[in-house]
Amino acid sequence: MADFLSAIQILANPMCLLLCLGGCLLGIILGAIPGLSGSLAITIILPMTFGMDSNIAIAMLISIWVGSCSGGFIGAILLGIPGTPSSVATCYDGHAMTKKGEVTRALSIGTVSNFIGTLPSIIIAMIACPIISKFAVMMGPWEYFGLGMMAIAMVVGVSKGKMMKGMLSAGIGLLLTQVGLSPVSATPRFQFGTTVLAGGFNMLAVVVGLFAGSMIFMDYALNDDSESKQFKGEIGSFKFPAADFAANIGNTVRSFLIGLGIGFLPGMGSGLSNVVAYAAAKNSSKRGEEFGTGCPDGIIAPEVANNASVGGAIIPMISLGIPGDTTTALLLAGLTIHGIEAGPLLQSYHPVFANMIFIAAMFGAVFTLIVEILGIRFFPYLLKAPYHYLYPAILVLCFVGVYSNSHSMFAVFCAFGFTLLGIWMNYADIPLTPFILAYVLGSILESNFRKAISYARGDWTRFFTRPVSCIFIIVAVISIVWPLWQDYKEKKSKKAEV
Amino acid sequence: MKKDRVTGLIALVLGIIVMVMTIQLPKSTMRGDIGPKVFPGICAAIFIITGLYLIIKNESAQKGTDPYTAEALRRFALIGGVVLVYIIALNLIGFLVPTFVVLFVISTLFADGKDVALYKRLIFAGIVTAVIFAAFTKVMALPLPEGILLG
Repeated sequence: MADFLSAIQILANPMCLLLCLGGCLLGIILGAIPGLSGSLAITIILPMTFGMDSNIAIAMLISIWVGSCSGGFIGAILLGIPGTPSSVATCYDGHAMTKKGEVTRALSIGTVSNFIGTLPSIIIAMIACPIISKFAVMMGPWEYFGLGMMAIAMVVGVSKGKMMKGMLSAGIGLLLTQVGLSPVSATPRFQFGTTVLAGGFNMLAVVVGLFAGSMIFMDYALNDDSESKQFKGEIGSFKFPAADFAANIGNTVRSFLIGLGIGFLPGMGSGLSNVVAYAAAKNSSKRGEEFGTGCPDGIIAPEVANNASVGGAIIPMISLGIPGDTTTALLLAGLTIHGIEAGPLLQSYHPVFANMIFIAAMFGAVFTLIVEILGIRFFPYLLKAPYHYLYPAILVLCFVGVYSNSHSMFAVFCAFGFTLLGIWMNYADIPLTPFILAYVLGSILESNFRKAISYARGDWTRFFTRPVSCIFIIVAVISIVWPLWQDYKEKKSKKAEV
Repeated sequence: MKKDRVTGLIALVLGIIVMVMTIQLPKSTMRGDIGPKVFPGICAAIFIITGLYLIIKNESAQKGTDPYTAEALRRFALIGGVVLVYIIALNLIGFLVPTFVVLFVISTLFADGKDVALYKRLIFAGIVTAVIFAAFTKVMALPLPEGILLG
């Protein structure tokens, strides 16, 4: 309790609250604008946090994340274009309600659904994390290696239809962690005779290049016409949709549990949970035929689920140091850059900091609710983003941020190189999520693997004789083999049909 | 040659290069340590396996029109060239002038076909340069490139 109160004390200063509020606002704005995302928001802000106190910096990044998870529904409802993949399913009924002239009701439902999804999921995460951490501290390097491998394998496994490219992506991420002095023995690797690569690639340079630089380059070169569609209509003041929620208690609880569960699993996250919750709501609803025509149930399900994934994703991130998706991987990178190692020991060594993360997320949920209630009339303006001002400013901010982080122009050139890598990966249709997960987890995987072999005096079987490690490895193998098997069976049945 | 096969070929060549470089790595001098070659070796194996698979299977053939047209490549070269020149200029003459210029130029590139007045783009470039400069150097006390010619 004392840690909890200390964490509140840290956050309850005007500057910190203001930055959290600003973070939420930025998250909502970038989450709402199609093509931009929470990952980009974190990438832009990360370099600016170096001069800040770590507590405030992380609280701000968490607020951005919470805000961005929420903002995606605005574009989905107003234009039928989801701001982020986490609001894809919201388009079906959200935009249909807008067409029916019920835009204020749709936005009010979305706003409340976001809050109902986020806050309880964070409270659950706050309760679950210390319990999971207690078990996690008993894990040895065998289990950590298995866990990391499982996380990467699960992400690769869900790259449906392009599993080999997912594996290639993970391989590229892993390779980048091999540059510089190796863990355990400090052997120089892939440094090409220079010392600038001794510490490996600057993490921010990698993140900026792959997530910000390449996105802006592609947007310009591929001439994405996201500005062409505009909302025309009137939005009224927020009205609490009590009747809609009273009629959807079962739907809300089910969607919440789906979001929480899927958010917990690596590689899934809100991008999947909203679609699954929508499908579950439609299948179990007595008025399933109304879905897609502007049914409030069809907004509640995806919006509760995608925001419940926030709490679900926090659990492995804080208690195990394993990110669930791209945004949490970037947050984990942010923690690393600020010198904080997430994982089971975080709760023991930095209990105030761990509590601060949960409370910041709760503050973020409340701020997001307030901003969305008060700003509901301004939502259409978010979608009229002047890209010709936004993109140049983001680009400059990112590259300059890399310099400020590293004090090295070499890192800025690397960021440019990673921008090109990101473009090539997009061109070749190689997914980015396995890359970032392998990149964030790569050195942890290697050091734990080498420690495991070393502690067991070269005995490889220890990975399989220790039950938890064995389970993780089996799940990892199944995650890769099962989709391949399914794919093979599908192709075989198609051939038989022909 | 189809796109996936080119990707596969790149992965295969990269895998072979990584494998050759991995073999040349020294062994660990620590007792009981499996050494620094294992993980780069795993990376090389991943590249070679996925590369061969993509070459042989052509996993996901491109559906619909490819957005990477000759015009798109020209635009990539244009924005890439502008940013590369900006980074070189940052290195040579520091933050202020190159940032003002690149903001104006990229804003102009993105405003192509839209009615955005010249003075607006100039004001935008000036304000953003000043805000970033003040925020980094004065508020957050973070360094900005000074330029090797001027620094």
